[in-house]
Amino acid sequence: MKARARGALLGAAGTVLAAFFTAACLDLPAFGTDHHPYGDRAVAAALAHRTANTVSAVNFDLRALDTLGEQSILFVTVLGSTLLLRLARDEHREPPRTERALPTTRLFGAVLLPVALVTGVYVVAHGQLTPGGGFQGGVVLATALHLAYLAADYRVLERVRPLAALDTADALAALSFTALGLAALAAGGAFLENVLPLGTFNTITSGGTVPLLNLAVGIEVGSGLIVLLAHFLDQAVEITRPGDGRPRRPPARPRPSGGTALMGALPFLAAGWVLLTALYGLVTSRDLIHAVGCLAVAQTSTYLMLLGVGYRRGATAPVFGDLPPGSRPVVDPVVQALTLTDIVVGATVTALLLALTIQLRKRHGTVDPQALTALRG
Amino acid sequence: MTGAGTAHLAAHLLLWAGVGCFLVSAAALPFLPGGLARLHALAPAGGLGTPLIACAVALEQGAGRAAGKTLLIGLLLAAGSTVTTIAVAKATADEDRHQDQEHPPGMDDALTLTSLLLVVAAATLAVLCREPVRQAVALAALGLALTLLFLVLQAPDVALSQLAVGTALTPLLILLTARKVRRPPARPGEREDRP
Repeated sequence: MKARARGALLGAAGTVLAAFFTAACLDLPAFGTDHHPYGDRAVAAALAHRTANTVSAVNFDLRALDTLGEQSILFVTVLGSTLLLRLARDEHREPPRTERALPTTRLFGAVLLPVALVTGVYVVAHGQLTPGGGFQGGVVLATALHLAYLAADYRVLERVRPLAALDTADALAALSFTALGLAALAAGGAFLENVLPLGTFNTITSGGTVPLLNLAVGIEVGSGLIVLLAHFLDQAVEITRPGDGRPRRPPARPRPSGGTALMGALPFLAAGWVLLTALYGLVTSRDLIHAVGCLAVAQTSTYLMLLGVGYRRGATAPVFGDLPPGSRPVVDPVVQALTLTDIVVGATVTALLLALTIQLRKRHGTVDPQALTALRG
Repeated sequence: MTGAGTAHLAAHLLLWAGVGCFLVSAAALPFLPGGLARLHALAPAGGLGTPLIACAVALEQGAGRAAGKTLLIGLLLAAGSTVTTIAVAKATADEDRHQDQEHPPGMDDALTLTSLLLVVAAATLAVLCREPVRQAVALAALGLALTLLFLVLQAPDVALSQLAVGTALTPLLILLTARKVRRPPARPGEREDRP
């Protein structure tokens, strides 16, 4: 399809989408509404199971089955990327060179690495009490380890990163999530039901199965992401020859200005704007990496929608670590749990698509979608 | 006594006066009760001690651009310290007055609106940056803006997740892919690289 025809189609479709989206948003309960039936029930259920962080309670207790699905997505993504980014027959591995980091960078990394690792472990371990949990702590742990690459070099990172062990840990953690669900069945409950003793409210052992499932997810996310990043790093650092690309200048475009609307629907309209802009970028993209970036932007519009729906004016965060239950209204934890997994799944989808991009480049020598269409003939 | 000697002596006096401000403030800190009273110790250290030390250093440097720069830094530090003291005092006073008193809704709305505008601007920028490396930076900025918005919307769990994924992981993956893809493909005959 010609660029002009595509642009016209996008314009027409975008106008229709924008019109219906705006109409729908104006009919939504206003931003900051006090009516949150799901949120109120979820908070009551979380407190009944003595879990101070109600978002974790939603993720690992009320919606544990959904989280099982999400952690499976993560597992399969790691598996898929491993397959896509394996060493091809015509490639060979060059040992990375020793590189010298600046002494200040080295010091910074050496000081920050243990702090970051401890922070990650803390965030995982206190998931049922304070904001955080397996998903967030796992990502912190996985990225923290890569400070070793910044502070020293790739060979040091390879030494502190036992990939075989991490692969196994990833699989075992994914398995143990299911095993905990089956254990609940064996104990006479439903699959993934919270059958363990609930403990004392606001202590680290409270919440029954919540800390255990949280730990399983923490280990899986942490080790899975390290393995995932390892494959991307291998591609970028080891399995190449030195050379340089030709940077292109992005075309200068006028930025359109947004309209005005009522505060009640503003976050939703902002989400609509972000979605439409990202779609425009996707359709007009001449580079698959840029297109994947646009897809990540499009995904952020769902976060805006979800959190906009769950917001309650004058309310506080749904975490009862420092807050006596019932003393203040809280925002809806259900949509927060949804957004949380949305973010992690979004990141894994980005990783998988980028791995596919690298494969395409290897096979066809281009990342321009139009050139790829032409190749098909 | 020569002019240089007088200047040196004056610089020493100023230096000790400045350091004295810090020492007295530090000594007073454990004896003062409560957050607001302790700020009385913080104010002289930052507001008086820092400019005095800056004056001493400037005097030693002698008239010139370096001394001007030092005085400017001293002034900025003193101003920054005063602003911080006032902000901390305001926050402490608010805290002391009543913990769960309703704060004006206009304040929340302004914060939400500001962070929302930041998100929209960063998202638009991320789409319009056609070059993947620049787009990675724009995406990191978008991640930060979203983190801010999520905090304002009372979602610390989501903010933490977004901070780790949006500002670190996704841009890193895009950068690595761009680095891999930007290399020209190995053409046979151009360089012998098969064993």
